[in-house]
Amino acid sequence: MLNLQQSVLAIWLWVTLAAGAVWADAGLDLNIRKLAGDGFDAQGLRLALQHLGEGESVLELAIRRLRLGDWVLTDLHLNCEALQLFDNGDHACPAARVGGHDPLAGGVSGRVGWRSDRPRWKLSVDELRLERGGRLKGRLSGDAGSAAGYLVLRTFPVKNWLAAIGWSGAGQLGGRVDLKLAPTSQQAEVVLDGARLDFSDPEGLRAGEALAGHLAATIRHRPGELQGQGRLTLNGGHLYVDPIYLSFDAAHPLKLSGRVAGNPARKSWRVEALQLEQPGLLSAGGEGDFTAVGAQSFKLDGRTDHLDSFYRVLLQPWLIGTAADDLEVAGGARFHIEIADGRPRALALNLTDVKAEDGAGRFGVQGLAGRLGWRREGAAGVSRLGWHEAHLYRIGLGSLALTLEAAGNALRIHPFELKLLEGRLAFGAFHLSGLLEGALRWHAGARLEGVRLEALSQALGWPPLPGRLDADLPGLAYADDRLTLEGELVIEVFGGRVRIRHLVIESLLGVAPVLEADLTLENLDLAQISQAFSFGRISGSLAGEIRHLRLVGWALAGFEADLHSPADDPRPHRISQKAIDDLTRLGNGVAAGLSGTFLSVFKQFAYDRLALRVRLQGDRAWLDGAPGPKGGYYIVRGAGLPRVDVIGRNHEVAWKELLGRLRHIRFKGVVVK
Amino acid sequence: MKSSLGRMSWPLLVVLLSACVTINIYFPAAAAEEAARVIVRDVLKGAEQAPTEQKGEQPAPESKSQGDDRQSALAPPAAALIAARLLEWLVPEARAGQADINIDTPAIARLRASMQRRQRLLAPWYRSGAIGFNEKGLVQIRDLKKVPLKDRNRLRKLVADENRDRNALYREIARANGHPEWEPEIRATFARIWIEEAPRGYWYHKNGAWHRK
Repeated sequence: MLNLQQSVLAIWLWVTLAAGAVWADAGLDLNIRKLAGDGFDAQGLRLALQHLGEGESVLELAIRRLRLGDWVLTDLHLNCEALQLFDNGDHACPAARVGGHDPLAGGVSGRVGWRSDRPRWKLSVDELRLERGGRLKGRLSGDAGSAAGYLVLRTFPVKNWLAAIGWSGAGQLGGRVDLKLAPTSQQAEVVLDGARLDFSDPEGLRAGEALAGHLAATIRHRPGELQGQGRLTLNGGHLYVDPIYLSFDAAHPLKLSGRVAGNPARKSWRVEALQLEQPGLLSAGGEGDFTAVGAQSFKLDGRTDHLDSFYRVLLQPWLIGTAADDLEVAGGARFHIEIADGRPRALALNLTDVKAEDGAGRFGVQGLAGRLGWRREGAAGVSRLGWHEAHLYRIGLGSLALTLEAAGNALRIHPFELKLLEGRLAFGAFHLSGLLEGALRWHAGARLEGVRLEALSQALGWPPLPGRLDADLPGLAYADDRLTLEGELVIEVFGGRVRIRHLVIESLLGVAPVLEADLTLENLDLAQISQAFSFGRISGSLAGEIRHLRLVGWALAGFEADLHSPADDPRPHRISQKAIDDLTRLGNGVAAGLSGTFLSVFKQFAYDRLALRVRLQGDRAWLDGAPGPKGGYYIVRGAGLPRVDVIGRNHEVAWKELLGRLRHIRFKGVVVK
Repeated sequence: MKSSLGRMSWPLLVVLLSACVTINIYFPAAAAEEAARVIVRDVLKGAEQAPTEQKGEQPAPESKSQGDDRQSALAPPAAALIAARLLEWLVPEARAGQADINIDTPAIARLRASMQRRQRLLAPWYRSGAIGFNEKGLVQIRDLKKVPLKDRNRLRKLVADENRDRNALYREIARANGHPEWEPEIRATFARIWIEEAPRGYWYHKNGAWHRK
């Protein structure tokens, strides 16, 4: 910038000195192949001065190529038909035609005038028309050492100017630049106004529609230093900077202000007193150091009392495709961000009474509050976070208080517990990693204590199950959107045990979560089961396995069940008429109808063994039991007299048909879907 | 007589014992195409007020080609080929059995319903050329400039949700049919059918360029 300014002054002085020196009667015609100085060079320069008499001359100046720093102008010309040369060396031109070509503005043409009254001079830009559109007008006056004046910018068509860089646009800009120029410092005060401005880059990733705004900035230049301060107000229209969309109006203008100081040669800049504010969205302040490659250091502190719009405008666009991209949020937050060498160095987040609810109802939290801090290097500070209540699907989670430390790639949560289904879930160590890689994974050890199955079944819409759940969960792990349980989950239920192994939940919060597990049933009391489900009345024990259980979207998608009476069962084996009917319906599709026979006098029967194998794959189910006569299979093998056997004949059945049979069996308060 | 039979059996016995049996698992391309067409038409119906009028000409279904078939083969040595051919000749039904593609599961029904509901919201952007189908059987943003600024993120979310459903659908069809390894073939089949069934005016990305139906 210094070189540019010096160059302009140098050329100006050179022209005026030349003109002053040759005001003699004779004409002057100078041709210079190249003229070079500090920060500038001119090629193909021609100066012609022709004396007309009575103090008037004709001045013609042409420069084929002029370089001012990095700025290259071509085909410059100035033609003054009535140059006045005075005896004392002063000169004046009331109207000179000027023209040239600028790489950005295209062709430039217009009229200027000047008058020297040494040591002072005045320059008027009566009109400069730019090929890309827009006009300039202004005044400049000064002496050999300084100058001051202004330029008025009118009707700058955004469309033409953006076309130069391949962007599209519409609307007009106008403004004014006040200049103060001196050999060692220059200052420009810029005011720009725009209304109904449209712009877009070729991909549509940076675009504005109907933007209205005002920019006021002051730029000062000293040797080796450029300073600026300004304020931008956008009070109308829409702005999209992928993926952020902002909307402005008179009541919600975006205000951005700050100071910039730096060294253009080193391309290093310091930003101070940065303020960003939009009512109803956020207010933030920051400072930082920047180079051509990005932020070397940057700090930003902000706050919002409108977390709903903050989430919608600034967070949700980054979360699209994740489980958190459709939340209803309320509350307030303060945040602190530090960037170093182009990478995050520290983050802090203070939340106040935050409420978040997933649009699909999968999860939600209320009363979330606390402070969460993270540092890339060094010891992590202690963070505390908690909530009053939360839910995962329809399972309520009680209040929670977390103490945690986050640093580098990892986050460690101190042992904590939360109330769960009238019991508690106590986590020992919880380690989360992948913070820097963007692919989170965690593992933890936990213990379930006193969880009431009745509360769980109620939450899931199942028939009420008696019993409680106490389990050690030594290895809970999450990676690649898969939650896995190492070891086994043991549920004490129906007087026996259900062991769950190989539990995997994939895409827990996705559109179709997948649950896979293997279950082993040990010594379940059929009397309790049949009482819970109103499935007739059966006494005895039930054992078996359900392997490859697979739920998709919490609906059964496949399993292989092998349920049977255990060998040496100590419990008595009795089965009621209704249970016989229900099991018969399950096997063959119609009830046995014992009540219509002489057997109706017997309310229950003895049985030797129960057995039922069901395999579901796709839309088909295969049924089997204990080997029976003539290709059939025993579901119930009777014992004693009168003996009732339930023998299945059909092995393959459509899954929908089997569900239909189950629907006919009236479970207590349950609709089978 | 007995020794003569024994001498005659030896070469065959050696061939059979030394043979490495080739197990061909054929991807049921025709059935998959039929299943995909059922689902795609059903889903696209959710977008169109009058789907039969707006749909373009129905391209003739491509004939099943051997190139579509997946061959999971234990590469047989030359000697085994004879035995393999013999076995194939002896038990042709073992090879010819073409399973149907099952798309009637709760998970698939759920995904289809979700996609069908979303089509009404996606359809205007298909028609404007803002989005189109790609060769991965997914939806892709083609030209954001066709979308008002205020709607761009809403559309990005719709596309992300649609693709999440589509990925789950292809995976579930493969799994529901007991062949998770079929997912790439099912995806490729769907990618082709989406384009074939797309109404006139929809855009699709193929061979590195966008085309309009």
